[in-house]
Amino acid sequence: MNVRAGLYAFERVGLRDAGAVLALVVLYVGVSAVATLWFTRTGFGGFDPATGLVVPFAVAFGAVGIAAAGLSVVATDLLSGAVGVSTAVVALAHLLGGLLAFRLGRRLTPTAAVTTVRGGARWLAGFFILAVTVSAAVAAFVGWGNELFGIAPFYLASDVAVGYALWTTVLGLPLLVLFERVGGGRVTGRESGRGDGVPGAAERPSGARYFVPLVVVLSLGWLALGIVGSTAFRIVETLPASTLHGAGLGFAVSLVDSGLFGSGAVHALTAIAVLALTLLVVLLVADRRAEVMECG
Amino acid sequence: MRLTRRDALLAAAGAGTVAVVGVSLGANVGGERAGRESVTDSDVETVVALAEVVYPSEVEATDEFAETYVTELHESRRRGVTAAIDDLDRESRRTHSRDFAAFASGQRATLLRELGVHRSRPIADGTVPERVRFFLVNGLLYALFVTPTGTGLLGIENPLGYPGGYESALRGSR
Repeated sequence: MNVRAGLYAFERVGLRDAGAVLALVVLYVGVSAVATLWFTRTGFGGFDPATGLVVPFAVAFGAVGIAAAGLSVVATDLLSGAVGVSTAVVALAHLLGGLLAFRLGRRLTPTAAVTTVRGGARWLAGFFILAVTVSAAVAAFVGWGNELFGIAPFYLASDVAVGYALWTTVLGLPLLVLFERVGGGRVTGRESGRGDGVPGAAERPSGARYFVPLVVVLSLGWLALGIVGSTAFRIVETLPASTLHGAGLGFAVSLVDSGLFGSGAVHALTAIAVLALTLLVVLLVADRRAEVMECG
Repeated sequence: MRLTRRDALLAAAGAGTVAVVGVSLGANVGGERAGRESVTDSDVETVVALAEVVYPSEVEATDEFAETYVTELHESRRRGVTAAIDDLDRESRRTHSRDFAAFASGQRATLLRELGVHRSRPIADGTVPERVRFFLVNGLLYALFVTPTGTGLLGIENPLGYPGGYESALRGSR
């Protein structure tokens, strides 16, 4: 399979990489605009359905899709006159989500496996794991960025995670299938001459098997730790010192008062984010290297 | 999957740089939250729109009420209110492409929930939902419940500061 297979559809209408990015950005902005119109007319809304496009963009179109996922946020905020720090936070979160989706997609949803009912079921299960993991990582990044820049408390990232997972499943799943059927497959790695899938578990080097569980645990753990930390800190802040002393938790008073964790526990959340991002980047780089070795 | 020390160092350096830049930028952003001293028609419109969501349906907030309330506030408080209005409008435009006041009452309530205002504590120097809660939601509720119009909803016709308030407080609500 050609390394640019996922972009066949675009090339058929004469669009190269930049054109393909632009087309995907227009699609994202369009879905977002329709959602806004729907909310304005009906009052029913909540989460932006366009966030469900990040995973299919990244999995089907690789670097082009990841770039489009990030630029789409800038484009929608520019068009609505709301460019700000949160634009950068969400755009970077989409880039992270896109990278994770691309790498996880190659491990969890190889299209070569969908030849039998069992293969299809495994593909579907893989997609759900991917959707939940990417949603958790994106929400954790948004929550951390929002807390850092004083936009929103981290614990509200739970809403982001739910909305992201919901729309990735409802909109992203059928769209990914459509992209792969109509678009002629997905982008493959430059070094991969073996199609869009990666070798089966039996063929993989032992280290590669740990990539998916490590990324899943890290992403969900980052989100959970951030929500618990952010919520707990705010609860402790509101309790009178006498209550804490009475419960034998006098040390908590000095921890909150000393500014050790910063306003809203931002220092602690930053430390957790640095650790989580470092490990995720290391895992992504290592997985790419492993894939090159497997296929090379 | 082979992890090398070089990978770890590069990733740590990258993430560390992002964090340091983020923390310093965050500190700057936090320091630039002072709002405007002057109150515009758009601000008054937003306050009225918010009051329609926050106030009981029996109470109608007029433009005059909102304008008087905001303009009569102490300058420091007024800056907080205008900053919170700007934040609220920006978040509304970012998520639904329109200013807060441009939506119907039910949609405004949804927007406030999306922003997490109902789940945030009122904090003057906190995050956007916390400041919206402090300066706008709680400010408006305070403005309502220090007048006979507001306390009348609770059966208190003479709140403290109004004629007969002391006797009313001694007698208790009926």
